[in-house]
Amino acid sequence: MITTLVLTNGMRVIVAPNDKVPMVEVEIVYQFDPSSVPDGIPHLTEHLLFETTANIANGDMDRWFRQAGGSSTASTNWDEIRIHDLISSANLEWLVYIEAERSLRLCQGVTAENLENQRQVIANELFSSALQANGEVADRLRRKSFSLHPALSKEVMGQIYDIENSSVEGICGFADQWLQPTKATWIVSGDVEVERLQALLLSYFPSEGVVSNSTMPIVENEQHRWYTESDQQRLLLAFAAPPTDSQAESISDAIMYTLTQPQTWHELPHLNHIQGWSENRDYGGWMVLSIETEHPQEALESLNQWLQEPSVNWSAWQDRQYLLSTRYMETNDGRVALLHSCVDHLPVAQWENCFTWQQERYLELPTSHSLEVALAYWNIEQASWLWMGPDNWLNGERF
Amino acid sequence: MWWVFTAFAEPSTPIQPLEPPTLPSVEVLTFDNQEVWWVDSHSAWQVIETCWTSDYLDGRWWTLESGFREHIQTVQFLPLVSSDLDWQSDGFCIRVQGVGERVLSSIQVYEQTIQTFRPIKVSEPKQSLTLRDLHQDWLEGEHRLSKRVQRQLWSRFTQSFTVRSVVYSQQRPVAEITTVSSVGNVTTNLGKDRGAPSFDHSCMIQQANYPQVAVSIDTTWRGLTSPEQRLLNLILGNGVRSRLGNSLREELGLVYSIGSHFTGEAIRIEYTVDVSNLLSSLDAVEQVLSDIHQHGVTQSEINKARSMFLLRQYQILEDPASMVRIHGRFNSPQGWDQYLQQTLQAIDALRTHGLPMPQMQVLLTGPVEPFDFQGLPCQSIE
Repeated sequence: MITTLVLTNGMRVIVAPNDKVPMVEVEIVYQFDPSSVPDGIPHLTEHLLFETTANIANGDMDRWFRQAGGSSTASTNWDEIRIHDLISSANLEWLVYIEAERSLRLCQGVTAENLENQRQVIANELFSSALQANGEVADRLRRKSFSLHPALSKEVMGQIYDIENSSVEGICGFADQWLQPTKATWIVSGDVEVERLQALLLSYFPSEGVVSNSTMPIVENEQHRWYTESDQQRLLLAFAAPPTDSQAESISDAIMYTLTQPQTWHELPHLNHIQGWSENRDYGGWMVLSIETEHPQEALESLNQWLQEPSVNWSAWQDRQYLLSTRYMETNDGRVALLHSCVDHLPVAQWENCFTWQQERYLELPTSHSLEVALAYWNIEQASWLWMGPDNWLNGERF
Repeated sequence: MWWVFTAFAEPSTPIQPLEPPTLPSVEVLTFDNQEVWWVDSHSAWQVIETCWTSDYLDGRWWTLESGFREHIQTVQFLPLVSSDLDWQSDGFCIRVQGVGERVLSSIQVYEQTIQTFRPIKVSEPKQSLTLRDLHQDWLEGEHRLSKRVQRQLWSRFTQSFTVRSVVYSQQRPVAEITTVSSVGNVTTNLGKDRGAPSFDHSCMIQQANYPQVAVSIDTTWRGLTSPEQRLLNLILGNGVRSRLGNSLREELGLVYSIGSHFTGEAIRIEYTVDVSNLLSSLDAVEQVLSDIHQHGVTQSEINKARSMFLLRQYQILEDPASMVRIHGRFNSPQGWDQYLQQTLQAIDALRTHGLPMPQMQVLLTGPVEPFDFQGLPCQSIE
């Protein structure tokens, strides 16, 4: 049984009670309009969520979460901050209290010392991300590929000078506008009574007027191509991705999954390995293939040929999705992931059918028309290319 | 109508500490002299783990693979079933999970597949591994052993295997399905290192094109039991507010991520750091360890560690695959309970003072030069 609430303070709440263990898992999503936010500030603000607030001293949040049998982590994307909390159900009020402090009284607690410290931590993070095979490069590819797009062109972590130039006022400006109940969606699974959660949320968060959501234009790929010298021999391709809740998205998922299975890429000449991922939004999104190859041009031809008539086993794909959603139902963490997907894909009125929707969403087999629509997003000629190899075979501009 | 007011004060109810969970009972069934441990469940999800073990690898940090995983992957896609293969210190386990009876029957498919594996023979294996072999492995990336090292190890891995299964299911298994016969002289031949190898000396691997130095420090704590070290590991390196996280990240801003894990023999500290901050970071680690040696740990830290340990047990209880895995890991149906009790006893008995100063072995990978380590016991193995 899933309950959906839109509180008087504008906060959206989706709850799937589950008493398997005495724990509650909560994901809080703060959406913001990246086109109106300075680069790097949301990510820096996310770091500061773990320092001090008006009423919580440095180090207390972590200590409380740990002693209450839980933990708290967060991540930032180009258009949202996600906080992921876990706590034993007896201590749920402490979680709500801490989140109210973060949302409403962060700014009064941020000190110049906190800010300076987290600047240094992020500087280290910027270097560390360069150690990850696809992380930093893929993010740069996104920004360059969609450089004219108001949302997809935005920085997540910012450049080092964005961080150096940040100020407490900048953090406060962002927090006051976007870390508000009106911008928050709480996704909850675990041993929780909906009425008690609702009462706690209304007690700790004040009422505010609802701010309307900004809308984003459909993604347009800018068709840039880059080159950089490297011995990695890796080819990255960035495509525009279909918007959420479209059949093109489901079909595109299936194509991505099939392509990244060894059974598929073993059969494609000149491809040593493929990884892929996508980010979908209601205004569109982007997806990337990361291909290890010694012969990029031949690999592209080989891939292009496969995409002309992709051999997706639709029945196996449907089985897999059913299997995954059933497995996700087992744990609070998995249930939160399913609920999150519904929040991303469905209007609020349909959230209550989330689990049924998850198990049925792939049951419809693609028609030739819908397959054609999905494959239009997989057009290699429209993709951005980034080759990291020893020679400039595509005469690309430097990355 | 809702009465809306805003609470600024801390909750009036104090934080409630986690209580140890009640673990589910395990029933032992026997088919064809093979033990099957059956855990009752209340869900649609089912899991079977079957392990093939050999005395040969007992106590070693690596097992062998060479083609075996690929061979297993030749199993055709089974609808509504997924599987994964784990290497353990003494063999390997295949865990099959999914919905319905296909989970139970699929293990037969794996059994047949394992029996058809034929290793490649290698002559004249070397009798011992050297530091240079391990170094070569590091250079080849992803902690994979080089083919040469694989062959040396794998050729000594010809044993009779014993088999056991753990089942998490609503349905009791039936004999003809769950009987898993010994697979005889199966030899695996692809190497996999479980964790980075332990080095005899501190050393470095120069990789000039790395943006940062990867630091791995093995700390050996003489006189501490395994449960005590598990607990100390949580205090030292679990989270950004652990001793190491608080010092190197939050106070000094030297690193982005830092953590530790207990390898079974040592507490391994790992982080990446800019080369200009390398020495400061090593000093800071040493200072953290020295503080623990000189001033001990606090009761509050022990309470936090106790909570973190119990939280992990609840997370295992939530997930059938983890539950099956942990039952299998302890090689007895009562193993998990014993582990839980022993660790809690160790937590309750942990001395807050008088902890030893550990021995440290440091491995550095990245843009490092010998002059970066003045006064440190590192040596180049090049």
